[in-house]
Amino acid sequence: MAHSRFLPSGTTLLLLCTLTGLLLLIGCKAQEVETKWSAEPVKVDGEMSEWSSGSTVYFEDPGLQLGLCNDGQNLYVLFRFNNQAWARAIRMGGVTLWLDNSGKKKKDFGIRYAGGPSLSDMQRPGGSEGGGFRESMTPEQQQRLDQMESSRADQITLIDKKANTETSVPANGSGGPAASFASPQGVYTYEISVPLAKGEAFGFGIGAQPGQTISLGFEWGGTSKEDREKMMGGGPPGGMGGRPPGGTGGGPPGGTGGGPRGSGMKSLAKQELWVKTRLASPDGG
Amino acid sequence: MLFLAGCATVPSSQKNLAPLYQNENSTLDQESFAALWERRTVLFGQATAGRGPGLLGTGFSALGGPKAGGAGFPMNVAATLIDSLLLESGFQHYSVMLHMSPQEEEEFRQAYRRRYDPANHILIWCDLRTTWAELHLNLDRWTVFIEVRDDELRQYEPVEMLEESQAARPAVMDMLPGIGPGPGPARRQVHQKTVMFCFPRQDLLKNPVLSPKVKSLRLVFQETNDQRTKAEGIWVFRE
Repeated sequence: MAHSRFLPSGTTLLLLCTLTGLLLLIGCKAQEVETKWSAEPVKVDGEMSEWSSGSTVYFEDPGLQLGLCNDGQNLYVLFRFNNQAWARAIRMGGVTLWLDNSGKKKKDFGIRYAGGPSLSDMQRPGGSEGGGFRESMTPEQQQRLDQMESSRADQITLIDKKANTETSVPANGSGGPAASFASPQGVYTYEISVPLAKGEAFGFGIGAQPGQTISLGFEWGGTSKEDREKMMGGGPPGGMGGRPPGGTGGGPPGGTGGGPRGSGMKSLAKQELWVKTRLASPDGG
Repeated sequence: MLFLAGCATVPSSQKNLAPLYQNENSTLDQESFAALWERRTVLFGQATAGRGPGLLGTGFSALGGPKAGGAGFPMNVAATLIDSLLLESGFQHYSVMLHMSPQEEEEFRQAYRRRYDPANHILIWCDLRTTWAELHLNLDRWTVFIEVRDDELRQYEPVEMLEESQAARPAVMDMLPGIGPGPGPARRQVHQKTVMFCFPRQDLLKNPVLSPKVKSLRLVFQETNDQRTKAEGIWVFRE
């Protein structure tokens, strides 16, 4: 019986896919970042005053500054950039900080924070969101918008994938983790603290000790949960007078060019950055 | 995806959109307002040369003066084409967000129509910034027009320019290392202004400016006293 000298085309394809996957995995390896010891608790206020230049690193790609430090109680994370599209994406969908005390890249526990510049700030000169919508609102609606945005920044969501729960807690740290946003010198700056030990209130903490190696994943952009719900659930209450003409069923569902037709949602590019770090100890070890 | 193409003074920026007839007929269940906004926004001018799309989003230039970088264009422009799909998406986005009643929503829509008249205007929202002198934001310095290309090339000037915010206090940008020049952080004063440019939807003969045959729409900023100083952003309508 003669055997083919070549692999069947399906097998070749499978091998190629596996190799490509392996290469991608190697390319996505978490970068190692040093965590500094902090003798004093860091105030989570989005300001830079407690972060010395030596306690942060800059990632040229994708273009953000990251700072990590810890004391005996908390890990403190500083995350800053001056990309307005990202700031808008975070304000709309949040930035999720994934915490993996095994040092891998598991997305079991995370914190989502949707703070950021208000729409009014974004629409001022320098803001990239606009279009004249705010200008067409009544003063009362503008005020509601501002309040809504500030209340979103007052909360963080604790994500426990294993328990399949998402819990909103105040961002001021009373529920364990804390988060804050500011824009010192115009740079979008997010500061987050997470208890090292598992807390009693929400059972939320990294579950790690000084000296232990952990992984942190930052994820932002893409379609927000709110947007997805909106898209799945339909339009606003009260009907949609003035929809654009069409929607006839025969029209192309693509919306904008380049994308697959009828393939469902498209979104802003999702950003993800993973770092691995060893929690600092007071003796510097 | 942002493509850079050649231009007289600075590289132009281009966005690819579906053909106009598709945009006009599309329904809204595909993309979020933010995603639509992003896809209709072109960034061009001061900061674009040699930078990746991620950094373009900063909208701020590392260039300090007319000679720096050789680009010679004093402004950074973020221009968003407010087509019917984006407009409807914006109405829905804010009406949902603010839990508007049907009456409130209708008033919101009407207020927008009164202010910008999208039925008769092609609307382009522009965020203008400069790290140079504030006078560069003065619209009197600039000839702003659109170039529409189908079988021929036609140019139109805005019928109205609504300055939605004045160039007020300059923001001091703390440029992150790697974005600013040199190894350390650099600080620049940034002057900013937001303008809605309203271009005619019909020409003098009452023909539609954006017919289904239109292949591209180009927004051009040209300095009135020095026509070599020019930058442009392009929306290309493709199948």
